[in-house]
Amino acid sequence: MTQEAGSIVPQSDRAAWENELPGLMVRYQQGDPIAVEELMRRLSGMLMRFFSGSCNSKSDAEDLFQECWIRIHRARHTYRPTEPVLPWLFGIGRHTKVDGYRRRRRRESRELLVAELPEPPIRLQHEPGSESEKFDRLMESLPDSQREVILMLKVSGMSLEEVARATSSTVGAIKQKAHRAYEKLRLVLERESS
Amino acid sequence: MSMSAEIGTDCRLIDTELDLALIARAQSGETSPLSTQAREHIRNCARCRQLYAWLFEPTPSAESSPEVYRRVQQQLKSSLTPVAPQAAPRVLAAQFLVVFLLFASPAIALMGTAGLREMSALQLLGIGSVLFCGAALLSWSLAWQMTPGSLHRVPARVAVVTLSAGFLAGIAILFPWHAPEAFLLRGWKCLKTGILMAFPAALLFWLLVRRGYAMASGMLGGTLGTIAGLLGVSVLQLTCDRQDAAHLMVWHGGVLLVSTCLGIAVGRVINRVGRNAG
Repeated sequence: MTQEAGSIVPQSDRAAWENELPGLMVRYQQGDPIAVEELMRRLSGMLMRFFSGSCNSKSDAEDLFQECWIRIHRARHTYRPTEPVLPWLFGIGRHTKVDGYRRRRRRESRELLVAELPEPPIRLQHEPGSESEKFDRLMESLPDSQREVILMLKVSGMSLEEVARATSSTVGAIKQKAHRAYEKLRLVLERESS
Repeated sequence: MSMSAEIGTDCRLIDTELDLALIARAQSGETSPLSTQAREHIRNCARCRQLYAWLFEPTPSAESSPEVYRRVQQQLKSSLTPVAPQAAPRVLAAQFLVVFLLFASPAIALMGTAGLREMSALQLLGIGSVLFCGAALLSWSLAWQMTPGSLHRVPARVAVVTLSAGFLAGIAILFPWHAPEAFLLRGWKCLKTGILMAFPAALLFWLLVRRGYAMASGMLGGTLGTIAGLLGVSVLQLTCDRQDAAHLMVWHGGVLLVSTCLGIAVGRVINRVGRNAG
């Protein structure tokens, strides 16, 4: 089975799509391999977009993607069937991202000068002018904390409370970050259109 | 002409309307319809059209390479075993509180109740309430921290600071200020006893916490250290016969401070080691 292509969340039947996730998670906890396939198919695009928004190369994003799924797997017992799936998933995703960022920074600080440069990593490349290219370019203009909130709100379509759950924060703090991010995005778009 | 001056009044009205629509969507998950005037303006204004499209149209998908996707799927399926879901945060919080009481009771029984005899009813009620509420708050905080996606009604930092402030304020208000007598010698003994008691308690709490998924090891370590330190303080409060404010604040409060700092440090080290190993 492959990943869901195109839009990350089907807009037409979003509520139904979201309501099916807890059932799949319960089947995953019971050890159903079909549920694993289905969950991966539904959620991988969202997670990959979340990691792509903060990584320089596709291989970095894929590393985080892989690590995140392994963490999800190890922590699958911590999901409670009565709770929403996306905040749980993005909570682990965010933790994976923060750890990956710190690990990368430490690695970079220890790097030595070498005579021959290794093969450069494959950059995240999109067709110029494409939606993906525009999306990433706009996201780059935001500070990390605001970018994270916007990514969660926009990529997964979570509510403010759900983003607060995923980031172990409060609804007020998320609302403030989102507001500041929209202000900044608006300025960038104004600059571009002028 | 400056850039902001180029943006017309209508654009500002659209900004306000988009703001409201965004907040409504983020709160309820549903997009409220824009007014006719706003829709008309969006049709004619490139800047607002672009803004609207970016904010409300679906995000383009990003995909991993098929090999990575297959590899992850294989990994998950190869180690797929049934697991029992973790208990609800309220059950976890109750477990922490029970461990707290079960650990403190025999320690008090062994060390005597000299402190209890020294305190007035008001002092006992006041400081007892602070210690019990602190233990309950920290128990809830630990339960939230080990459950990804749970709503932290009180952030861990706030819980630790509130408890510390409450303890210091309670001591300052309820207990008398005497001239220090063998301040260092007696104090050092209390500090040592409190910290020695906090160590095994922290280990017990950690055994409970490790069943969940720790989101921020530094903060979790700090909370574990604080609740273990609080246990030490609670036992000292009932067993120590020096019930004057300076002694309680410096030496008993010191147990809380030292164990919190040690908890944060250990949490960070564990996090770093785990990250490097991963």
